Amino acid sequence: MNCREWEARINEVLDNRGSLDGDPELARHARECAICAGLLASTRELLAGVALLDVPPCDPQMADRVIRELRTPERRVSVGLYRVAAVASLATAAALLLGAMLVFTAPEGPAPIVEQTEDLPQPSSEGVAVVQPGDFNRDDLDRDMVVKLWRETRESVDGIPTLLTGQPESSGDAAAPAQPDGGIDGLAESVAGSFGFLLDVLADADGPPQS
Amino acid sequence: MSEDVRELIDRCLAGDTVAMAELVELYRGHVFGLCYRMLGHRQDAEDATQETFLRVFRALRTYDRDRDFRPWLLAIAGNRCRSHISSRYRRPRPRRLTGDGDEMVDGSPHPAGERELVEEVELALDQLREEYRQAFLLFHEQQLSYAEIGEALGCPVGTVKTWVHRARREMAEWIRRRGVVEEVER
Repeated sequence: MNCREWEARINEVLDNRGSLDGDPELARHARECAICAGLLASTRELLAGVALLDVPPCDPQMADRVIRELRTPERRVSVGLYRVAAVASLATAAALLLGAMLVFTAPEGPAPIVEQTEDLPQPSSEGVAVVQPGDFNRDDLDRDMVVKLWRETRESVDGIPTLLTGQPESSGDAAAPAQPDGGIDGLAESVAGSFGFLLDVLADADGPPQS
Repeated sequence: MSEDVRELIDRCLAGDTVAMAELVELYRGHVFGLCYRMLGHRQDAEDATQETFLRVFRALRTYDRDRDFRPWLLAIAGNRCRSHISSRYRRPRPRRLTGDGDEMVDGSPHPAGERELVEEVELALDQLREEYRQAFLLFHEQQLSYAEIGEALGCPVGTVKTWVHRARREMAEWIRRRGVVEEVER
């Protein structure tokens, strides 16, 4: 019997819940092989130790605990529910933000578009073309024009740019030209983009543009 | 499965709480013993035992009457223990054998040599992979057959045998390396 066969024999005996002491083949090989003798001794100790393992008594009220818990409704909140709630919250927040931006920035109706020729230093009624709702030409609307409208509107309203530009309301600079790369211009361009998109949508909803 | 257990299960299914309490009383030792060995912490083991019975009662209608009840029950207990163990990655693992009344306690009446052996066996159990430990405990401590363990763990008998053999070998090696054999024999 070699060492491999000997170990297989040990497992066979233990699998059948036999005793290691009652097998002469195991003892014979163990006398010839020091490694297997050590394994045999430690296996004996292991099984003796397993038999000595103590388990403290379980809670005698376990049955009451279980039945009491069974009577309470099961609280089951799945991870999926948290995910759905998170996505819904984000979507709601995004929708509210977009809506707030549109309500805050969009004028109530298409603003009059002023075309000013160079030989007229001041705008007059002759140089003004008023576009009524529904009959504007989408080709006449471009981003620069809307930015221009935004600046003019901003200049006419006290206090609006204060927060964005940091200029005090009483500084008297409300009518000063906006900085090319300032925050208000970035916002204006963003709003203009949104506004142009909205106008495109409205124009498409009204039908093909009139020529 | 004995007729008594079958009848208890029938009564449990009918909502008889007295029968539920009897079923818990009948098996709480087995379940708690396994949980305690796998978790090494009395409070955790009691929690896992409670969760096991809750799951058993909630899933009792799906239980196949042709199977033995105890392996099914212990498989649920093993699953609960594995869940507890995985949740421990987020908190420190309790130390064993500190004798502070909460963790694995050695309040046993064993003499010093035996107490040391028990400690070493518990440490050796700690070194095992989860599936090895569970298979070893079910075979040697709970005295389940390989077929029952295979049914409980949902794996072939050959796999269970391999796990138990490896667990025995690793634990015997641990005991030999720790010099327990010589000290005990002295």
